[in-house]
Amino acid sequence: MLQHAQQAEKVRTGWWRRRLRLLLALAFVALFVALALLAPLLFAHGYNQQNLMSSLMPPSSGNPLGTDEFGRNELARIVWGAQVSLEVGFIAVLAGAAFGGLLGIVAGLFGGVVDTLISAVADVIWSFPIILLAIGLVAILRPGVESAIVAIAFGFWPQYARVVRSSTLELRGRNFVEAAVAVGASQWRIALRHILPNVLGQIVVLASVGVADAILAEATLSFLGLGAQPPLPDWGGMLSAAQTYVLQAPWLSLAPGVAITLVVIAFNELGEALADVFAPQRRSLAG
Amino acid sequence: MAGFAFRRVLVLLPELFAVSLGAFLIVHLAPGNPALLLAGLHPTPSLIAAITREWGLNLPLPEQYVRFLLQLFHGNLGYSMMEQRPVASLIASALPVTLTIGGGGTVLALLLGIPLGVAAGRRTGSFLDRLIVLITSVTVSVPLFWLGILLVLAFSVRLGWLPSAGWGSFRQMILPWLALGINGLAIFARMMRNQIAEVLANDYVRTARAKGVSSSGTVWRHAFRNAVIPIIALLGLRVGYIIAGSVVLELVFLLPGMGQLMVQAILNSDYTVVQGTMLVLGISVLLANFIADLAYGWVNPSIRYQ
Repeated sequence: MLQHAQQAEKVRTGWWRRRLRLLLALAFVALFVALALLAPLLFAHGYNQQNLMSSLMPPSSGNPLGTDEFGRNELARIVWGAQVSLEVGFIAVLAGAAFGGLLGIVAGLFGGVVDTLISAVADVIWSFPIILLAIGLVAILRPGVESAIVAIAFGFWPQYARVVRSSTLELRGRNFVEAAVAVGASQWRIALRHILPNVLGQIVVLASVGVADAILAEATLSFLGLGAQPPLPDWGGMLSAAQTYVLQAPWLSLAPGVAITLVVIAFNELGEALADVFAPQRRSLAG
Repeated sequence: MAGFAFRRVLVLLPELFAVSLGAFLIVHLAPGNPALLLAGLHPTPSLIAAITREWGLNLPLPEQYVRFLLQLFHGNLGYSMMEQRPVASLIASALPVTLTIGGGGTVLALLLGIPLGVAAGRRTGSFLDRLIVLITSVTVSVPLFWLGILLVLAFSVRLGWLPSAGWGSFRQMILPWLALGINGLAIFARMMRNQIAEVLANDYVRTARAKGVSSSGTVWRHAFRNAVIPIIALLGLRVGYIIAGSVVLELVFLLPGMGQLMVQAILNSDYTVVQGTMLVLGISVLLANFIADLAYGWVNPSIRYQ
């Protein structure tokens, strides 16, 4: 009896802790999105207002995060930089999820040679880390934000294809799908009306963690000089530029890194919390 | 074991084909005339004609691919117009740097991660366990290249203990190794923690404890041995990430490795080098996964029959 009570207590505190984590993650993600969208209002002068007279100034009341080598307000560039991260993160994940999801449903429904081919390509791509794939693709497409988006989406689609394919295979044998087949529904109707709604939850969970991975990959690409190009404010690119001034202005090497880390943690936490909602069987024992 | 190895080779071959095709296509998919791209920044008509002849660029694509493979088997990866050196010799001097950084960083990740995992797994839920879980979740969230910058800020700029960049001395390798070690420790620590906790919950461990075997004795004799096998498998899967991490850190610490070579080549449109580095890194990842799978099959017979 006592054991059961303790167990129940544990589950309840776990529930509260999970709820709190979800709320914190949601709040931070909302803050990030709001800052990105409101950047033109908050810093109307834009991200490239140079003032060479006050370059590499330490943090002060006018420039809370100091100024960079061109005397630009570091805080303004961080907030504008959220736009770049947001854009790349969301578009790359949407594109990767849509493309991968589509191929996953096709592979699962049609099977045979189509399935073998799609799975083989997905497996080969999947065996390489996203950043190596992205560097290879940027080599073809030339450095830039658009190339970074395409490159990251290219590395992302296999995970969606794999998850959706295996769910499709499982769902295909279920009664409601067999009933739909029996009444003569077309493959596409089955895919859209019966399979898709059932795999959407898993896609949302993957996509949330995916945004974190995409933002990290984009920042890394830009740090290497292969993503967003100056003067576009990009957190990874800002860290790359700050390296030259690490002795005179070490603060420039801190703020963009903190921004990336916090956003990555927030989207990862959101993904964990969403997994609790959409896939309770995945709940980690560690809570 | 032979059958298992054979089946694994059947997977490896198409993978190698895909990677070589990908590297081959980089030059052909990039905007512009391949001969012009391969000629570098100062193309002359005679140079373009020579390159067109050497790589057979006026032949149909499949035929060009076969020629590319034949050149490859002769160790010819082309010539870098930018560096005025054969690509193979550029890679021969860059690859050891990347392998040294990646290898040392991985050893450090294991040396840091395994003891942390054992300490956490012995008493899950304890203060020490919670602390270690917290440490691992922080270290996985910090971007690797920023971690490198933070280490430079702390140990070079502030304390002045270690050089911030460069290659050649042991002291210059410490910070890149540390960055890769801290970044990689979490995955080994978590794996070890869960393994140890799972094994310690078994009845035979309780029996051993009841018979009077010491606590560290049970951890060592029973839990640790069981946990080593998944670590080997994990290590193989991590090779790609270790190489990628090393590539990124080379730009933080200005190391003359594959990452530096590849990124500079992309920025300079030095396509023979881009092609060569992608090919070598791609094949390295595939071979490492292959070797890890074989090693895993060797230590764990049940996997061979799946």
